[in-house]
Amino acid sequence: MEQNGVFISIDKRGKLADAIDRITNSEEGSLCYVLNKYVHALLDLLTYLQPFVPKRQKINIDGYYVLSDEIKMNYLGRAYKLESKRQLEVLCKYSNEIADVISKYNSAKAEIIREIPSFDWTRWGIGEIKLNHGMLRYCREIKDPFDNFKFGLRYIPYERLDYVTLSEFLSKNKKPPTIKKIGVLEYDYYYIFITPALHIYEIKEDNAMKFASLIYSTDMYSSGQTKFYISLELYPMADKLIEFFKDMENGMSIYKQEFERKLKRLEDINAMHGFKATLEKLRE
Amino acid sequence: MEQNGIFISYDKRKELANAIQRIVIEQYISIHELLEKYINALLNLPELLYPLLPKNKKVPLSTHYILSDRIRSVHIDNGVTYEITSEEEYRVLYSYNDEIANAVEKYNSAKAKIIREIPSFDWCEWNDDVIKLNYGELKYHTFSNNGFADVNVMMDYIPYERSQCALLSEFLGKCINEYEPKEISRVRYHYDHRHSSPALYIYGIRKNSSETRDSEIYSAGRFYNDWKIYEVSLELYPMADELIKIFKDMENGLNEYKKKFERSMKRLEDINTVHEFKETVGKFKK
Repeated sequence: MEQNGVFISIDKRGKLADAIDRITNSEEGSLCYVLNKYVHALLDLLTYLQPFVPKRQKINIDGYYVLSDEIKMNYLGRAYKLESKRQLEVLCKYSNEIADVISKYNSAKAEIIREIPSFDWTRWGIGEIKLNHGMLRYCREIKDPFDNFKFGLRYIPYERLDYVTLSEFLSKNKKPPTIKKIGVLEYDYYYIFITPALHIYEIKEDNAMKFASLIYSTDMYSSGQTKFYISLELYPMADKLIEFFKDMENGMSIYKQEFERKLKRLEDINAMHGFKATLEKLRE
Repeated sequence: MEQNGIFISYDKRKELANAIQRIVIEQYISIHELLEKYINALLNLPELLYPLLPKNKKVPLSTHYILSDRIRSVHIDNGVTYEITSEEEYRVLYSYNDEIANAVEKYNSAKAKIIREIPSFDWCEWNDDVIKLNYGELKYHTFSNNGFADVNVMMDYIPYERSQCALLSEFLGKCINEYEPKEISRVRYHYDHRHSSPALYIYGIRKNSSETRDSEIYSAGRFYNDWKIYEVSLELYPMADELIKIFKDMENGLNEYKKKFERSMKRLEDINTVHEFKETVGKFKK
């Protein structure tokens, strides 16, 4: 960084782009790739468990939900279909009650249903992961099973970093940049988007209340070209951010391993059920 | 440009951004405003020429059009005549200019003279016009050869001397070794009256190549705000020195086209004023 301009090193910019890409890509080996597979395996599991109870059987789960071939919502005496995501949430929430009912008809299905809460990542209790330059922890938005199929991790650096972007540097004659400090880096995954987003927050204090205020965000459709511009925009903080992103990557791998372990179990269940379904078809 | 990176100067980046801003926002807005006025002045003109022929006089122009008090379309089955829009009237005035002027001349030579002048107000007449500038020439293309078609024109700036064509993302990207050196062959400015901003393209051709066909290297799109101009100026930064000259030159070239429109508009306004004056005198006489 010099007085009358900025020197951008090919290598450093490349390193920063790679560090961002390793966190936010959805290719094989990334956390996002495992998350996508995990969510699909969960949704597959649901289709294997249906029908829950034999035809014409209807069992009230609570005032809102009814168990029949699928889990439906009870509204003014009528049963409405629920999207798969919601059905899984209900299965997780009322796992024991539903399993008790189903065990009368199919003990194997009941056993799997009892296992469902263990697939809910909000219950894993990995806690805070202490890393080299900061700590990583899971952030919950909604206190529902599977967190509405969102997965967010917050990296809090031990030392706050001055936030300066390239656009601020290059147009500094216009107005002096306001000094912001990076307080949180967030990994934000939602299963309907292809890639996760990365958010940068500063921590603001107002009336002794601390809150995170968003200062930069990549979108969930990042292409190669937009990733190039992200690395360029964040370039003035490259040295420190490369350290932070590497740290995040290390912490994220702990979650990735846990997802992979549970995914193995889900895939085993799905494979077993798939095999049983094929056998049944052959028998017919 | 250095071996292992690039130095981006505040001033040069800013100068490039300003040059882009001038042609894609300021120059575009002023051309747009001028053309609005020009088209309005054009649309007023037929009103002043009415009636083209005295009452009950009719001259067929084609199987579709007939000249009477104004130009009307003829229904092919029953011969009923219909009024047409000013835009269509212009197209007919343009296509049958001599026939209409000859017919009108018998009754009003002043009107006939104006009708003969109408094709000179058509921007499509400038197709393939070239304006020589300091570092290159600006060539004007229209998409249609029909008179008074929508103002949808391209202006290609072709530099006299080619210079290196490199984008920042290519320079800083990993694939730099695979990058084939190219030179700027032209910069295209696409003006379309239906849009609120122009499209800007940069074309390149392989260095030391005998190829005559160039290809699009960069497109800045049609939507501009401060952030977009910043991004464009950054991406085009490795060519900043050359592009600042080109965009300034283009600005001068665009001014020349503006002057052409202004000259034609001046003539249109003069015609309108003379006619209004004559009308007022005629009313007083009555």
